[in-house]
Amino acid sequence: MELRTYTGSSTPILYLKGRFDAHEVAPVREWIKTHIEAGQVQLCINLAEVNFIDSSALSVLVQGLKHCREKGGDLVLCCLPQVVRVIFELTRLDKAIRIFATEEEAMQA
Amino acid sequence: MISEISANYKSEFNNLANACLQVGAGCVQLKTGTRLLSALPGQEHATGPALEFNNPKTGLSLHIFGTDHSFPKSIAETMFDFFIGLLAEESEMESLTAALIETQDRLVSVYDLGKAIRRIVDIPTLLNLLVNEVSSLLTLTGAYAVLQQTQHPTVICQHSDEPIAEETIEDIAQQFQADTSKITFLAAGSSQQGIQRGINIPILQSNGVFAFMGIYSNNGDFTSPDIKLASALAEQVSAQIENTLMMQESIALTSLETEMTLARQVQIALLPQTLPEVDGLDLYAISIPAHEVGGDFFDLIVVPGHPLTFVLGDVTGKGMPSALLMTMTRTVARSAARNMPFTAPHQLVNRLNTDLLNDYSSVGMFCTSLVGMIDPASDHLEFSNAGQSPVIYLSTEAEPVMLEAQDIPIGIFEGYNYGSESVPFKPGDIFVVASDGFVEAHNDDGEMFGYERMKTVLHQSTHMPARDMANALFTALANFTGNQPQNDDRTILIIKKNNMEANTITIHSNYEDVQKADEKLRAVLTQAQVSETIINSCELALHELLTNLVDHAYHQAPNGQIKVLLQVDPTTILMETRDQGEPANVDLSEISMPDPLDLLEGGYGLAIIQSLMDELYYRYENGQNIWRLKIIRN
Repeated sequence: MELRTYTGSSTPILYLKGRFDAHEVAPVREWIKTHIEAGQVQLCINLAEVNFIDSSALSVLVQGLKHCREKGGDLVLCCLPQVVRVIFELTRLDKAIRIFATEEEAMQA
Repeated sequence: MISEISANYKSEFNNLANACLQVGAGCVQLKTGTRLLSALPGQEHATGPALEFNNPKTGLSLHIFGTDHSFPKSIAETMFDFFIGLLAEESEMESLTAALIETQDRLVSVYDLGKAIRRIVDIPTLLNLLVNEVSSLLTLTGAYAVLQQTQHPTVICQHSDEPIAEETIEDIAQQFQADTSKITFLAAGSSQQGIQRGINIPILQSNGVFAFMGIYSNNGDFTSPDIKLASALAEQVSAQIENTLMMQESIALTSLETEMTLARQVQIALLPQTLPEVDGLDLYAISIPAHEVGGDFFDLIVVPGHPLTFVLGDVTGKGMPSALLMTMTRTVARSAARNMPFTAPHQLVNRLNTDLLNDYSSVGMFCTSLVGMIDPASDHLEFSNAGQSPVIYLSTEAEPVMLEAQDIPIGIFEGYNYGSESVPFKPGDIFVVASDGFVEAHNDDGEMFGYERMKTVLHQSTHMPARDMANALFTALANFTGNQPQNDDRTILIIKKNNMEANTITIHSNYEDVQKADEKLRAVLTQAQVSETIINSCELALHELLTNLVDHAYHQAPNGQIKVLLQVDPTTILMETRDQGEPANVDLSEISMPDPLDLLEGGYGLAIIQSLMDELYYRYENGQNIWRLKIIRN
């Protein structure tokens, strides 16, 4: 998996590419943790180029989201391809996590 | 008695005698016969004319000397009557005491008999004791006991100095059998062989008169207490007979049960407890013994560098003899297959026939069996069929066929020359051999399950793993037979040639390897032209399962082994994993998707698998976790 970040706006964005699964979750967890510790609690992850996601990835996202919300912020997702959307629908976590179709909408959240 | 009276009532005698002396008597004497009991005053005064009173019944006499006819006789009469009265009362007391003692003796004897027989569990001995006891307690001429619940009454014993003929007793017994209300076989006053009175005392069990005791007398009747005593003793013996019968019944049941259980245990213990794993083959075999065990057996023998040898046989008959012969046959087959360089199945069958012919022919039994050999690298399966049926060959290229046995069973002809046959055995081909317990099973209408039904069920399940094919057959059979009991062993061996070598993926327990398995799965499924949606579902489900195994079976220790078996059929995709990690403590029926609003960080894995797959199955077997995921392609 490749990670790319954009920190130019008030909401830092993480771009992920490739497989987002148990083997790859550590750097994502680290990215979230680092920003929260720096006081940046409104985060966005763009999943447009992810081709596989598993429950370990969900676990990291839910954990990060909870930490952000505790500090008055949120962790939002955007640009989910169909193969990624399926697992959010299966787990119904799309009801609990704010998911946006475009990065612009996510930035305004 | 009388002398006791004179001693006990000395003062009364003296008072009365003094009264006589005062009215003129010279001397008063009380006698029994010629014996002087009491006298007043001394004997020397017994002179002159005497007044004499006699009581002939008791022999008591009163003598008053020195009196004349003017002596008031009434005084003497009163005195005499007093002593006679005393004597009568004393006598009555004595007989009452004797009766009491006798009653007590009888009660004690009932109790003693009860105690004495508690350890006796032999019915004739019990009846003998009863007759002896009654003879010693009652005044009778004789007593006997007869076993009634046999086709013909059996006289067990007779206790008498003047025994009556056995035929007479048998006659009495038959009359009593015809009408058990008639306990008196000889009414008082009538006579038969000099017997004046006879009574039958029944010894009852739950189903009627089990035996009876006869008592008879040549001189007089039996009193009601006599009959009551005899009945009480008979009741004691009856209770012990009941215990004895119950014990005998339970011993008989236990020994029968033990033989059955033993035969069953021998049979089960000797069959392979684990099935070998042979690359490229999907093997399954099981034997389900009937309650009354038969002689079914199977074996799968793997010798490194040699083809897999498999045997399935059925020794004729049931019970322990079949189980023993089965054991011998299996042992000979196993050691011959291991130690002799056989290259064709019929060589092993010839060996079995030579070695076991005497054992089988000496007891008039034989053994149908099929021996097969298969080299996974070869595309043929060889077998030698000595009377075994059914054998079903399911090829991917043709309709299923029943392969008829070409040779006779083992144990019939010395020197019989068995032959081998061969069928193509390519990926997807299936070879099934079973015992006749399947086809001969009946339903409630008496109809047999039969070869056609068996063939059809197997044909419909060719897409399943060997184990599932067997289960499908057992299910179909159970539906067919309904309430009918299983009368014969049911043994089946299924050999399936796997579709592709690539169908097995072996990885180590770490996330990196899980990704490799995902990739390989995707490649296999893509090659098999499975739709993208199904591939995605399979990949996610297998990935979640493997991640779970890394985390929970191996606790992230990176070098545990996980084997994934893939089976792709036109209708289903099956993914089975095997690992030696910690057994899963999970109830699959309890799995549900966590509530999203709870924002749980875990607990999604199995729920995801369950929602993606049509079947999720887990078992722990022989130190292995076995997970099976199945999805139907449509």
